[in-house]
Amino acid sequence: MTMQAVQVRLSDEQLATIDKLVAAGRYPSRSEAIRDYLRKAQLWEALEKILALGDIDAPESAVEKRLAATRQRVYETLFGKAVA
Amino acid sequence: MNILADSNLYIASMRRSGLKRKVLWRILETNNILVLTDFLIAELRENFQELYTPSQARIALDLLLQYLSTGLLIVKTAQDYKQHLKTAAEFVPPKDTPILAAAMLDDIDLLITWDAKHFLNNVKLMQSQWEAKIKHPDELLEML
Repeated sequence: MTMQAVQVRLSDEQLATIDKLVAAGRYPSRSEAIRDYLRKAQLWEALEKILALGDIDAPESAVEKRLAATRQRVYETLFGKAVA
Repeated sequence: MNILADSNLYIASMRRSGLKRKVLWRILETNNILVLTDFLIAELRENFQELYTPSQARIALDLLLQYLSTGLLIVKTAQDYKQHLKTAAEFVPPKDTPILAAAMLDDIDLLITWDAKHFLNNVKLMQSQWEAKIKHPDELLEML
């Protein structure tokens, strides 16, 4: 992956937070810390989109039952004859 | 670690509430590699068609894959794990063999599942060499 150098302005507080994590060994560098923060922001945005679909209303036990039935159906479709 | 998550983890991640939703997030957040299979994807597609309205179901899988691909993701196909299907059938019902067979692959470190009946409390499986790979999500959270 090609990396580009960009100038980013951060507050003293934000920089101190990053430096603390680098000093603690959680990230090898400031760049790596910022990249990881960005990745987590993307993760969060994607999750928000999923949750915007609306909640799954069914109770957990009903979902579990449905999962088992679906697995059986998908297995029969894809593997039913493979392992008899 | 290369982590194969059972379909119940993905469904839990789509729910708005509950601690279960956090497991998948934690796997992705900690830079572990999540392993999907063709079987799991087919299963998720079917489940979304039942759990969501038709219009939501169409985009639910795309959104989930988009979510997962913000982390590190590997997809295995039946070609990869079919060699283990017969061995897997010695331990679990046929419908669960694609999951266990994928977990048996050398490059899979863990199978995470809430399924106690067929995996976690399966005595034969827990007494086999595969026991070390099969974990409850709570065990995984302690490891991460």
